[in-house]
Amino acid sequence: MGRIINLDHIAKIEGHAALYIKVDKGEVKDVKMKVTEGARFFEGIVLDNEPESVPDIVSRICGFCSQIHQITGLKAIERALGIEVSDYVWNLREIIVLASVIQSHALHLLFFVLPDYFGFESAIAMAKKQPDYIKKALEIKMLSDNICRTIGGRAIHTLTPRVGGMSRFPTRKEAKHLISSLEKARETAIWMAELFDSLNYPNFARDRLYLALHDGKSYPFLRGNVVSSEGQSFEVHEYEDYISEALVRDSTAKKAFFRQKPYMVGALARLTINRDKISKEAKALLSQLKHTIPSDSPYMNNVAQAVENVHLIDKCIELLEQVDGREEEIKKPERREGRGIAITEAPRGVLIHDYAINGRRVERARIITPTVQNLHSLELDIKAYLPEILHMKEEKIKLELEKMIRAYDPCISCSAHFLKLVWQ
Amino acid sequence: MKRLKLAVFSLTSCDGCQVVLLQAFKQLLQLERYIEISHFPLLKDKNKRGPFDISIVEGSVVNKRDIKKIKQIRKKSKILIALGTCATHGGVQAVKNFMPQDKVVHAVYPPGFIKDATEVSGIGRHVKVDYEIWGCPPVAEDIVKLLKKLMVGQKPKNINEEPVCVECRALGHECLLEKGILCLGPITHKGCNAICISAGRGCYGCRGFLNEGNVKQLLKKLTEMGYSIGQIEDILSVYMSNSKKVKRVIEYGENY
Repeated sequence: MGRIINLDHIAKIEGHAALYIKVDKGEVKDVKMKVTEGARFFEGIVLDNEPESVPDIVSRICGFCSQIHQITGLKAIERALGIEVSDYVWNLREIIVLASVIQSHALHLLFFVLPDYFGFESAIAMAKKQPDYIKKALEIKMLSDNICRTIGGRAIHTLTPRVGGMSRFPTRKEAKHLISSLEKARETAIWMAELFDSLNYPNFARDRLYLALHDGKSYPFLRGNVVSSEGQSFEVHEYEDYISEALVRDSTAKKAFFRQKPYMVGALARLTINRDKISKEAKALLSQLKHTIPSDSPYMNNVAQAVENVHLIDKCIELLEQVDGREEEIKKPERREGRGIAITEAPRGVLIHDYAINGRRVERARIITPTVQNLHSLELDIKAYLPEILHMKEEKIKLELEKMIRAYDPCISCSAHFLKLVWQ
Repeated sequence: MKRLKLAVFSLTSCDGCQVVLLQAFKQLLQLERYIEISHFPLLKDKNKRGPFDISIVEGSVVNKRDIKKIKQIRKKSKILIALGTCATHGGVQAVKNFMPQDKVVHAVYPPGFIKDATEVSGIGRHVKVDYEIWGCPPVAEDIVKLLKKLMVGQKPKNINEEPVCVECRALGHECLLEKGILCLGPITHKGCNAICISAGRGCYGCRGFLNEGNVKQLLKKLTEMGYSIGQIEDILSVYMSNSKKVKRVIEYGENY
């Protein structure tokens, strides 16, 4: 007998998405992840705008990772207009981005993932029984809010990063204050990584391709070429030759391919490709964990995010130590036309912004988000994992599928929200 | 005392308003004796269907499904709160209403792919809204303050019907318009504590258009400062395209 599994609102992920599964005679015939979030047409609404207003508009693509959309937009626009800002400005922008990655990981791990493994319906229910876990993780979240507020002017949709520079510069005293709170948070981040390493993840692995930025000398979020776990690489301006997108019927998100192949981006991809570049503390931590990375298990993305947070705290301290209180003027554009492409690492992986500017106006825009790149790989994982769990009860199947989806940390607002089960 | 049932809904948005609710997670948990979070899909697996005492809605209406959803939410909610500029005014995506539709849509999808898109608006266009919390993003304390008042049965009036300038002056900032920098402070709802001006830049109107705001006077000032009508339209259209006064400026330009 054939049946359809239809999870039409998946809870505890960012945005509105649904999962459609068709099973016939015990065989999985079709798996489709559908994004049901209303279309917001970002690539359309930036058209005809002055390029300077683009970063503040694209920041609104996503409330979980507004900072990276804003700063990737900035980088692309500056490239198009021939503006080169100082390394000092880039350091400040990087602090904002890294702090926002810490925040995004902490929210995902604490609010979405942990309740599944501790058997709670939500973080609210968990807070009553396990208040310490929630308290500690909230510490990390608040730390990140403070960094974005101090350097960026506001926790979400930061204000200071502008085309040509920064509208406000932090003082040495402000930076020192942030460093001391980061020093205190390191222990909590290590505790969190050990906690996520101690969880029992489903025993599932599938051969996969990873893509991440790589520059050979650092653990990059804002620079470098795109490199695959199989050793291929391409430069930023060549992305269209390597990455293609296809539309999905009944879904407002598109699907991406790397040379016709599905792939995975995010913390696990970054750690797989750049693990020798993480901080000393993070390296020592990673070597002591019971789980190993690289791994072909999507669940290791949870562990990778937690390990990354330790590295990110160290990196933020390193960058904040360079803050000396200097101020710089906003740089004026050299030209009012050109094309600018920027590829960065958002919390959830590789992010591409591409703009063409002509006669002071944005003429064309293209944005490829990490979740769009991960959707295909996620569907393939669900397809491969389903036969192993089909004998289970309906509620259990749903939980198992949600665990897998949440491991990917999908960001649906970015890709254009989640799960109800209907048996046919 | 019976606990009030609280629901959080999301229409089409960046979900940033819900991230702001997470910023207030500790305070929300402290209200647990009085308020039960019974529907919040971003955080919960088991979500009740209602009815609810208080519903917080973030996100704007962009399609027929959103219209249907907001009407259903209104029916099962005693008090309806619009949270954030998408829900109060339509948000950044509302600028689409004033652009050639084909151009905007086809920049992203092929013809015929998106079938149910409607005009982008705040929720107030389709249902009665009891309270508005402004901002993109809104301020977490505003949400907690309002909930505390509603909890004890107060019916607060909006105290933010004043421009950002009021807060800006109290902070002692030099007026950016006097310095020749474009700033929408005079026509934008206060309540952010002049956050942009403190960050070294002009206000870009994220809390939405203030009904008492004098657009005509600001327009005159900005043109005297040397900004072209195109530049002014650009910044006005990001957050204020759904205001009738601002719409006229965008449509008629210098002849306004």
